[in-house]
Amino acid sequence: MVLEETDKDLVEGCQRGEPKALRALFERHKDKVYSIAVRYSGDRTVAMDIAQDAFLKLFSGIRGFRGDSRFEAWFYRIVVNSCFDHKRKTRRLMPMVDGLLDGLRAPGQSALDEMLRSELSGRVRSAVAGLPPDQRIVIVLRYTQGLSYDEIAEILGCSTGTVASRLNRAHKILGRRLGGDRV
Amino acid sequence: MSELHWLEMELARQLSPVTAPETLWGRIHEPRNPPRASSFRLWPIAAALLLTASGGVAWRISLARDPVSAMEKLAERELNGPQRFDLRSQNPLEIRAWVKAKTNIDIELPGSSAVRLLGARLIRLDGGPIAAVAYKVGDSPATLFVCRKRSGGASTAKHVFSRAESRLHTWTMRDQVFTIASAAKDPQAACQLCHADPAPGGILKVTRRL
Repeated sequence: MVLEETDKDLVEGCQRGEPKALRALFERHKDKVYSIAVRYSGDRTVAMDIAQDAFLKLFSGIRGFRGDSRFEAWFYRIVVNSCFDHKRKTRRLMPMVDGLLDGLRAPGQSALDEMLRSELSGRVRSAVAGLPPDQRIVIVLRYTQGLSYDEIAEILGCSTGTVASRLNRAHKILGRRLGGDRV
Repeated sequence: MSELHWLEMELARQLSPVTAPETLWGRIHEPRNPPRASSFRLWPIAAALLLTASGGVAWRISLARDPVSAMEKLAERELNGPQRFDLRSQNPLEIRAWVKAKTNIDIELPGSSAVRLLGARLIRLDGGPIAAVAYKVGDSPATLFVCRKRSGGASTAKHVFSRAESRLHTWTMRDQVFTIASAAKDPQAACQLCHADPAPGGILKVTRRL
């Protein structure tokens, strides 16, 4: 039986400068980080930049992690700040392309179903991309990572009530923008 | 189905997690990609790169032959220009971790109270990384440059000085080449980055002491 190292073991290894620990911590969190980045930015190229930034900040600052908060919350905060810091320089073309590809890949559906699904997918992502950053990040943490209100509040450093309020406002905006798409 | 329930299901479906590309780890190990520029802005950059490259050919050839000399030339150039940073930090541990992550060069910074750390920068020279740690001794700026020795020569744990003048101190130690460039009046003041109490009477005493 192979015992999997915990985040705490890996963090301590990173703090001692062990390259294997850095790689293991990366492997453990890379999908989460990239998912947040790509769903927040709506652009896979921008998401790579954000994920790169986040991991570089993690590795250069990990010695400063004292364990006062959960490692995951501390690291998510770095990821969120990287998302906020990144200024969009390109137009959002990828969500539409992604949606089209998703539609083409979906098995067992008619061509019309695939087209409708692809179109809806592009509109949902486009609507999310149009939200203000503070509402968009709450939506991404909630629906991409499935985090609770308490966990999101810990990451963003705000109250649970603030999280609920931002989610509520985001739902209303998205509901208005996508209301006509409901089938 | 209520509007909210439909919306939540659709968001969960459209914003589902994805797998990170295999190339991400390579991006973290390699230096940061330059920002993308539109094509009509590329020609002045290309021209500048061409000029820089042609002007630096001879220098790079000499670097391949003599990394110590190349480091000193770089240090002299940097000393005459403004200090620049990729990382601004006064924390020796953070600077050490950043340099280690970016260059795999380990620089032990004891965190002397005699100097004030400012930050660090990665410089690429002839394909190899050079870490530059900027700091101040009193009001005088100073920079420590570190790179790996290419090959050959004995490895030593002690300072072996190849140059010790008022502005540049260069030595090799543990398979790494170090150069301190400082504008401080006291030639040994910049050594306080690692040695809080430099020996009086000249750098040669420090050499023996180390």
